[in-house]
Amino acid sequence: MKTLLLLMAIPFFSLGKITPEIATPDRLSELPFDQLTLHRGNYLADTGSCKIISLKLFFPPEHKRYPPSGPWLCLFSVDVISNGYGPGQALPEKVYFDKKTGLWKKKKYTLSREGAQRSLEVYGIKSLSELQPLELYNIQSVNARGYAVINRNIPLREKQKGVKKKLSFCLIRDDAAFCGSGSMINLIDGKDVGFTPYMLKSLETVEMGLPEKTNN
Amino acid sequence: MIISPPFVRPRNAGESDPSWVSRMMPVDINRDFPLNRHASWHGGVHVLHTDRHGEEGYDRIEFVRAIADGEVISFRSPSSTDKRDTFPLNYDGRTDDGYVLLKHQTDIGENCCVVYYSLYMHLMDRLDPAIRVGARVWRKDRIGRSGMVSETNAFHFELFCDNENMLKLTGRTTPELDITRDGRTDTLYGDIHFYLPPGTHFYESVPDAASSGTDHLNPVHTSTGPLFVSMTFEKGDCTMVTRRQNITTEALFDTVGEPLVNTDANSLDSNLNTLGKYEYNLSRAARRLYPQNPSAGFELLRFGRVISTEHETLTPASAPLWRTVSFPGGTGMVNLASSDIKKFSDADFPHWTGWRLVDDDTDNNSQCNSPLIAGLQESGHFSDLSSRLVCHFPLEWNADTFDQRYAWLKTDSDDVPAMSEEDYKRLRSHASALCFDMGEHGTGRLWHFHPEAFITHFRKCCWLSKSELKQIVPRNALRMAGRNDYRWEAITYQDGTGSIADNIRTHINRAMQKHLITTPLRIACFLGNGIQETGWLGTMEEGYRYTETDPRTHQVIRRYNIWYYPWYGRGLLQLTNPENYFDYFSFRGRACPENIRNTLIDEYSRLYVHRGVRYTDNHLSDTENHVPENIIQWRNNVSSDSHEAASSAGFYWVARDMAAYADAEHILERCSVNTRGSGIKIYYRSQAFWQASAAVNLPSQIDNGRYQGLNGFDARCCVYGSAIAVLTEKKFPDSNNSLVNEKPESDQLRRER
Repeated sequence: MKTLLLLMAIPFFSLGKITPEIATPDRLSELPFDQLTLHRGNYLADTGSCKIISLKLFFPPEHKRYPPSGPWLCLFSVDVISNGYGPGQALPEKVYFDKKTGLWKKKKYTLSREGAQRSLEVYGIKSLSELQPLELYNIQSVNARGYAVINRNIPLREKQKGVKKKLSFCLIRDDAAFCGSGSMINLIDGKDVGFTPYMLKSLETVEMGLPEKTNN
Repeated sequence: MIISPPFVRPRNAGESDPSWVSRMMPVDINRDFPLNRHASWHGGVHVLHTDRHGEEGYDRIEFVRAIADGEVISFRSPSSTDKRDTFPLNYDGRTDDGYVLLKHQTDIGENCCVVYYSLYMHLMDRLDPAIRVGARVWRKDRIGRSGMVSETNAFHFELFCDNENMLKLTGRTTPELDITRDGRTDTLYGDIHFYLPPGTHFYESVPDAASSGTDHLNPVHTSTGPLFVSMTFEKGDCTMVTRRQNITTEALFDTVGEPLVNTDANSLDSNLNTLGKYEYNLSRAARRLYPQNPSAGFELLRFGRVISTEHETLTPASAPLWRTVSFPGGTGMVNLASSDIKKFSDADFPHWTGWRLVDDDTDNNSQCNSPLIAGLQESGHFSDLSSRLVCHFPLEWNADTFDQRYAWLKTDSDDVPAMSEEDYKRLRSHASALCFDMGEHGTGRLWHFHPEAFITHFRKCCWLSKSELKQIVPRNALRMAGRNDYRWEAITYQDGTGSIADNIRTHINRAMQKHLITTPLRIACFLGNGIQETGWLGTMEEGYRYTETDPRTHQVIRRYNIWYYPWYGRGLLQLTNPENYFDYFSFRGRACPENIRNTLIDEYSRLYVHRGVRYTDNHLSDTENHVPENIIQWRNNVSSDSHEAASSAGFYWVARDMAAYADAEHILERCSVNTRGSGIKIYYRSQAFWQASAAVNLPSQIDNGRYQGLNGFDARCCVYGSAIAVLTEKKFPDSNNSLVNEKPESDQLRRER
C-alpha cells in the first residue's frame, strides 16, 4: 500500500498523537469514515463513566467493512492499569503503565511452566521462540490517553478462521477506560487489506465522557 | 423437550440442524410415512442403516438410541437369526422381530406436560441390558441394533400420541390453524408467523419507526389476498419470508420474493461486534423504539406481540412494529403489531408451513380412505407435503385387530387385486409374529407423526421439564479453596415442591424463551452461569454478610456487609451494583429519580476505584441516599420474586451480548485437576463458554486466553459440561483429545434410574 508520512497540519488530527509515529495512509484527509456516537448500550460496560463516546472510524477507500471485532468496552481505568496487556494472552511479554512517565511500556517476563504450555496450546506452536514481539503505540486522543497493541500471535482457532493480526486498545479518561480489539487484516477479493493505520488514526479522534442525551 | 434422532453421528462443518437430523435417518422410500404400498396407512418410516465399520465418525457397531428421556413400556428381545430367516418372520424377506416401546413425558410450555411414544421395531441381535419393563432410559442411551425388515437393512421407527396429547402438542385436531385469532402462548417456540389479511397496507418507508401513524406515509401496495410472513431468528440474523397460497393447489404455499435477511438492522443499535445483526441488537432496538418500556417492546420485536401480559405493558399501547416485508412484486413496511394481523409461532403448527392434521378416515381399518390425502394425491403434491401430515389411524401392532384392519385386502379394489385366502393367512401369520400387547393403545386410533419432521420440529422447543433441568445440575462441583488446593464437593440439589428451584423453573423457561436463549449451546452458557451463581438454584441472592473471626480463638470479632451493600448480587445471573440495577429498571420501564441514580452510581464508582475506603467511607446506604421505597422494593424483588430473578438474568443476557459468544463454535477442552481427598477429577471448558461468561461477569477478560480471573469459573464449567451432555449431541474429549466420550467423566450426570 502506498503510504505517506503523517501530515501533522490536518486540522482534525491536531488534538491526537500516536507514539511512535506511524506511516499514514495516502490522502488521509479524503479518507471515508463513519462518525460514531456510542451510547451506553453500544458498549459493554463495567461502568457507565465513558458516557457518550464519539469517534471517526476510518477505513480504506472502497473497503468499508472492518474485519471481525470484539465489542467496544467501557471499563474502570484502575482495572485497565492493573491488568495492562499481555498476561491473559499467554505471552512472555506484557504492556504496563509507567506511572513515572505516564506512558505505556513493554516488558518481557518469564512464563511459568504451566503458562508456557498454555502458550504452545493456544497458539499452536512448537516453541515459544515462534512468538512475535508485540508492537506498542501510545495514543493521545482528543481527550483520552492510552495504548494500542498490535499482536501478530493469533490463537490457533482464530488463525484457522483467517485472523492474522489483532489490534487491542484502551484509552483512559479519569476513572473510565474505553477499550476494544479486533482483527486488522481482511481478505477482500483474494487480497489482504490492512486496517491497522486506519484504526490507529481513528483512535486519535476518540472523545469520551460527552454528556448523555435521551436515545430516542 | 429435548429430543434427537435415533442415530447420533458427528455433524459436518456448517451443517444445519434439519439437514443433520435428516442425514441421521435416511428413509426407505418404499416404507415411508404415512402410506405404505397399496395405499394403506404406515405409522412410521423404515430407517435404513448398515454398520459402517472403520469409517471415520462412525462407531464400530452403531446402536439405535433413545430419542428422548423415557420409560420402557414393553420390549421383545430379537429372535435368533435362524428364526429371522424362516417363515413367519421371513415373509417377503428376512425380518427381525426385536422391538422397544418407550413412553416419553416432558414439557413443551407452561402447564403443558405432554406424553408421546416412540417405537423401534425390527431390532436384531441383543437389546441393551438396561432395557427392562419400567426402566428409565435417557436420551442418546443405546437401545439395540438396527436389524432387517423384508430383506432390507432397516428398522421401523414410529412416533405417536393419543388425542388428549395431540391437543397439547399441536394445539388442535383440525386440519388447518384457526387464523381468526392469535396463536397460543402457553407454548411458543421456533419461528414467529404473521397472517396478513387482504387489504394490508405496505408503505415505502417509515421515518419514525416508533410511531404507528400512517397519514404521511407513502403506500406502495395493498394486499389483495392472504399473505403469511415467517420471522426466523438464528445466530444473530433475522430472516423474513412471505408466503401465499398456490393458485391451483390449496395446500401448497409459495414463497413471495426473496428472503429478507437483517433488512431492518439499524447501525444505531449495534456494538462493534454485532454490526448488521438484527437479532443480536434486539435489546438496543427495543430501547430506541420503545423507551417507555423497552422490555415490553422487546417482546413486540421478538414475538410480534406482548406475551407476558401479567408483567409487561406496552407503552403506548399502540406502539408499532414496522418491519420490511415482501409482497408480490416488491417490498414495503408493514406495522405487524396491528391487531388485524394475527400472530403465531411454530408451536401452532401453521398449515402454511405444511402442517396438516388428517382426521377424516374414521373407519378402523388400515386402508387410507382420507379425502384430504386423496386430494393431495390428485394434485400431484402428496410427496412434497406428506412429511408434515399428522394422521389419525389405528396402530398396526395389535394381533387381535388384524382382521378388522386388513380384511379389505381380500376384496378387489382399483389399486390392488384381491388377496387369496392363503396369502391372507400367510400375511396374518407374519404380522402376528411381529405384533405385541399394546395395552391401552391396542384399539382405536392414534395420532402419528413423521418421525423426522417431529424431531426436527421439536428440537426448536427448548422448554425444560423438571427432570431435564435437574440433569443439568452436576453431581459435584470443583471449588478452589486456596492456591493449588481444589476440592471436589457434592452438590445438594433441592427441587421439591415449593423449593426455589421448583418455583423458578417456569420463569427460567419463560425468560429463555423471551430473550432468545433458545438453542442448546445458548442454554448451556446461560445456565452454566446461572446455576452456579445461585448455589445450584438454592438462593437468588449473594451472601453479602461476612463474619470476621479471630484465627486463634475462632471468636467472632465483627459482622459486616459486603462493601457494595445493599446493591449486592440478586437474581439468576446476580445483578450487581447500582448502575446495572438502574439499567434493568429502565429496561422494565420503571422511572427512577436521576439525582438518586447518579449519586449512587458515582459513589459506587468512587468506592470501586478507591479500594482503601470501601468500608471506612461508604455512602451507598438507602437512608443516606433517600432511596424511595418503590426502588428498594424493585431491587429486593430481583431476589424474592422468581419472575424478577429470571427476567433480570434475561436482561443481563441481552444487554451483555452473551448470545454472540454462545453462538460461536464450542471446542471442548478436557481439564484434569488433582483434588484434595478425591483424586483426579475432570471438567470441560471452551473459549465460547469463557467469553459468554466473561461478557456478563468480567468484560475486560473476554479475550483472556488463559481463562483467569472469573470467580468460580471451574464450577461454572462443571454445570456447562452437564448441560452439554444433556442438551446437545457433542462428544467429550478423552485424555488423548479424541472426541469419543458420550458423557462427561467423573460421573457428573444427575440421573437416577
